[in-house]
Amino acid sequence: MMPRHGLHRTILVAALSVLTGITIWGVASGTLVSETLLPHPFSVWEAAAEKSESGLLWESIRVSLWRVGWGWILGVGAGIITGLILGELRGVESVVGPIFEFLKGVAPISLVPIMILWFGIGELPKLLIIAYITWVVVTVSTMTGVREVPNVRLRAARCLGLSQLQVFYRVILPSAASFVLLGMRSGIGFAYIALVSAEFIAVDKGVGFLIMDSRLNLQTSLMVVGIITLGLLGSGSQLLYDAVTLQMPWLSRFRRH
Amino acid sequence: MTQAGRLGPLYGILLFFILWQVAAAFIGTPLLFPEPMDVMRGLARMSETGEIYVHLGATLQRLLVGLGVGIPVGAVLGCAMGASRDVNAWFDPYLRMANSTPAIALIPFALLWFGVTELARYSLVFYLAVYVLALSARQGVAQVPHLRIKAANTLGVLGVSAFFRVVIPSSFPAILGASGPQRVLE
Amino acid sequence: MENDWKRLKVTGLYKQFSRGPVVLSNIDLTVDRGAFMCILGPSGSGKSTLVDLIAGFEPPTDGRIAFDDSPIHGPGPDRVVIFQDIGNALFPWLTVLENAEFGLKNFVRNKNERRAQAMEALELVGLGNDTHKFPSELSGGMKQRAQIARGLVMDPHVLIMDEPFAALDAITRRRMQYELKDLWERTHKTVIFVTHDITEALILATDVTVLSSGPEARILDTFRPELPDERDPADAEFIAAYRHIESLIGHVHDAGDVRAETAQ
Repeated sequence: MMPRHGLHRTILVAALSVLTGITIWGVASGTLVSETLLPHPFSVWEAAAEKSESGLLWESIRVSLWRVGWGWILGVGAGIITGLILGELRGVESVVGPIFEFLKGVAPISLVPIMILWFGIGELPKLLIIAYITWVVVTVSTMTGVREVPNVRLRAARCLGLSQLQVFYRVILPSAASFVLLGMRSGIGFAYIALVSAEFIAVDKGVGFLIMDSRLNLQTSLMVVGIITLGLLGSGSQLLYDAVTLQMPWLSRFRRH
Repeated sequence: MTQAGRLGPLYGILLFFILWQVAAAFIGTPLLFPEPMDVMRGLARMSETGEIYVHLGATLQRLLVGLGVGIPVGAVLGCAMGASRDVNAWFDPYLRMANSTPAIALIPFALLWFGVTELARYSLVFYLAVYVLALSARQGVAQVPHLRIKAANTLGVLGVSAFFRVVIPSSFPAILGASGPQRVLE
Repeated sequence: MENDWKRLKVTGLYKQFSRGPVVLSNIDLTVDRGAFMCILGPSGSGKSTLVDLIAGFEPPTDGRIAFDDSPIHGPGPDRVVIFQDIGNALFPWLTVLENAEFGLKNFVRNKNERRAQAMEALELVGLGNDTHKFPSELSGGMKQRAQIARGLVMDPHVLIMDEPFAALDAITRRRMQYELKDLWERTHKTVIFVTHDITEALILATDVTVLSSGPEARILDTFRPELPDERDPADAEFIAAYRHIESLIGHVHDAGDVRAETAQ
């Protein structure tokens, strides 16, 4: 339909676009829009360099990664278990499924006050909010994975002499694996949303706190640093996840269909 | 099975309320965990005084304004990105950035720019709508079967007119599917 | 599992799904050991239901299925099914070799022995060089060969093939038919082969059973086509057999149509 261009051209256009974007940003800052609202790219860079030298940036990243990492791992573990159980109980899925879809739609931030009421302001409520939303997402995808195993595949296994139990761990588990892997991936995005929600409200440290705190102090450039850091962490986590699941032969084979 | 399948969601809602009630009874502190009946009574009282309609109205208005402006902008952007590699290359970096940054992180920024006003809320909904619509419209355009375009070509509908008469209508389901407010709220 | 069985006998088989119509009515069928039995029927004649019953996936409403006098119980490796659904029948996360070994794990303890048996079956179907590919890397014909190897390796009493070539293109389908015939001549494995393709049935079968269209499908005829070992769809006997089956099923072309169709 459209003339074909090489990859080089795509990269060139994208680079040009980003450069133009930054230039417009640089020109507009301080002229069209005040520097308080839109800090100059250079001052964002300076703020990043300064906080990276003082260690505040790295400490925030460390704390946030710890929370999101452990919360995600807890949520994934719990989600796989509940997903398998609920998926295997035939008929239950149609009853429980809508509840989980509803829970998935509830923004994690609305849970923050209740979690603080229950568990105080330590690390636990933050971890639990992240784990909770990951759990919901992974449960839904695991449940779907178990339910979507093609009937022919189950029958093939049965007539090759497998018992019901063997069918479960030799056919249903590996069949559901591709859905679980997808759920784990979208769980990363949800975990980061939950992380920011938790760090906005229950404040002490972390990248979310950095953003909120710099807003209160009107350090807009630091706020932009925080937002960019968050974006980099989020996309970095997903890239890492893709690399791991695609590179490991015993995992990547479950992505085949 | 089919009956359970059709009524499943209903049982689900019922089960949800039962679990809620049991949990509330177990915890026993209404302040920490209100009973469903209390919440219902609260809802009833708010609807009597009309308070709830004010809140609902405000939420709906935010959605309508933000989506009303955001959806067309996002749809046009996405279709253009799907149609042209250069347009796609130009805007793709920004879509990627939006994709990897939770929208919630932008709330402080919106508050800084617009203060605690309706405009801050409109702008966030607008941002989300543009981003979600652009993504799905681009995908919708990319997924139009090549055969369908060829079929249009053999009928003498070529180039730009094939794009408007075949590609855009073909990608409509994807665009409409993304327009639901729920997708945007996530 | 007894190994000295002589025939698979289906007697007085009825199948009705709960409150639905009767699918199969009074089916009597005898498959001799070593036979290649083709079950022919138009779409919706209950062929697949018959497969489900013989394979043990579904219980019959009435009647019995037995090897000589010992009735079957549920699905089992004495009656391996080759499915039509080429996209889902193989395990996509396993290589061709691992697919072929899949059922052996319960019966052969030694890993090397398993591997050797699977390799042997794969070479028999002509996949000896593709053992480390994943199903997604195979063509439709190769997928069905892998499925046949996975079944053969179990050394079943009966290989049940449920329209195994229906999803393949016409040229591949015809090649697979002759390959299967060749395979059968070398192994003399008992086969129950379900199809709606009359030519396919006449190329392969030693015995043909014709089902009526459903609901309440019944057997119209069971016969041994008097055809030479080398089946040629253009032979006069072949065409005669073809027309016999067509007249049974109930719609007759004129002779010219038949020749045109069979000569393809």
